[in-house]
Amino acid sequence: MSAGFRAVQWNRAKLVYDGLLLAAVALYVGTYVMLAYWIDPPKDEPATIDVRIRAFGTCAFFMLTMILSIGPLARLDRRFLPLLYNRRHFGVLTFFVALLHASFMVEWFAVQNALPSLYDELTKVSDYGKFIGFPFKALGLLTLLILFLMAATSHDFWLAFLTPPVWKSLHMALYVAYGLVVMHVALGVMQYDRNPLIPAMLAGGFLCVTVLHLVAGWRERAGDLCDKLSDDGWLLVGPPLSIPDKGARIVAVSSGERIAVFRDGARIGALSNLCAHQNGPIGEGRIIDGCVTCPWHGYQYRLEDGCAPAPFTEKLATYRVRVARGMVEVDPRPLAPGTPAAIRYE
Amino acid sequence: MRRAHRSVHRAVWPVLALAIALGFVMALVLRPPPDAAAPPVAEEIKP
Repeated sequence: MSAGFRAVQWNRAKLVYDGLLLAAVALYVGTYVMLAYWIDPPKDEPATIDVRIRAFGTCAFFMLTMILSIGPLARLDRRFLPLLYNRRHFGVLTFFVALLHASFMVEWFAVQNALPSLYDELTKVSDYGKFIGFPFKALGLLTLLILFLMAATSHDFWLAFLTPPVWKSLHMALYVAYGLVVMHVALGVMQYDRNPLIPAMLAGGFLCVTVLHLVAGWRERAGDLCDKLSDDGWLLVGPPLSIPDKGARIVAVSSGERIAVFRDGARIGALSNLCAHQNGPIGEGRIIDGCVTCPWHGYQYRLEDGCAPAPFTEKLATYRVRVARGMVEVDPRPLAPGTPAAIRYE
Repeated sequence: MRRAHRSVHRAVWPVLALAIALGFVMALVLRPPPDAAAPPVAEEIKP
């Protein structure tokens, strides 16, 4: 939660997360370089730089693959939620790894006094009409620009300034960046290096991301379609005990946003399923210390009125709830954020 | 994620995935044979 501007709100979890990330990157790059030197020692300076280009390039590809897999993995299995907590730092580090890959590529040309060749390759307009022979470095450059844009707007300041829906839309450009990276490698190194590990790496990473997204999307879609309405248009949730204690059931009408119906002992309350921070899925969170807690970054709200506890000021829309004929029902028309609406049943 | 985001996501993701899969397969099938793939002198400036 944020009560004022701070550059980065460090805490122990973030420090551990970032430390592990940096250690994993160092371990991967170090192992790659060591193996490359052991299998085929570079014979000159350009070959030495080429090893670094490949080490950082493959590292950035695997990091992007992991970042895109975290979202669906966390929806399919809660044990992956800790990976999601600091995903933005993961993204920023990926940008820097990709930047190192690009800078080594420039150095490769520079040590051979061949920078004009790089310029020619990027500016030869006729090559942009080819498929095989397309200037693949331009795809990499475009990816780097997208990653820069996302890293530069990753701070909560930009999230608040742009609003969560716009910020989320902007950051969906990561999918485009991933597609560009796949084609950057497929039209680049894969064309002149016959190592079967290159297409295997691309296909494996791409299939992993695609299958995870399709499975998670299919499961969520099934949840969106199964809700029933009572005669007067209220959503039927189910018996009170069908809602897990200190947890929620998520319901939705076909034309509206999802609603998270929480139970805390004998209290039942319904809130918008969209966290005010990043529109995270509140209904997949738990009630901790008496507050509904978002599973993504721990933003908290009171069940009775959807307000964050002082000194925080975030508010969620609430929904009217009733228990009729032993069934919990929710009015799908949202109340103004912060309106008390929880009930006690018995 | 808002409903609008989910709808866009579900519509765009399979199309994007298919386009990239097609591009990848074409790049794999159309790549030059191994002897031609060895970079000629003029093309050597290519890491």
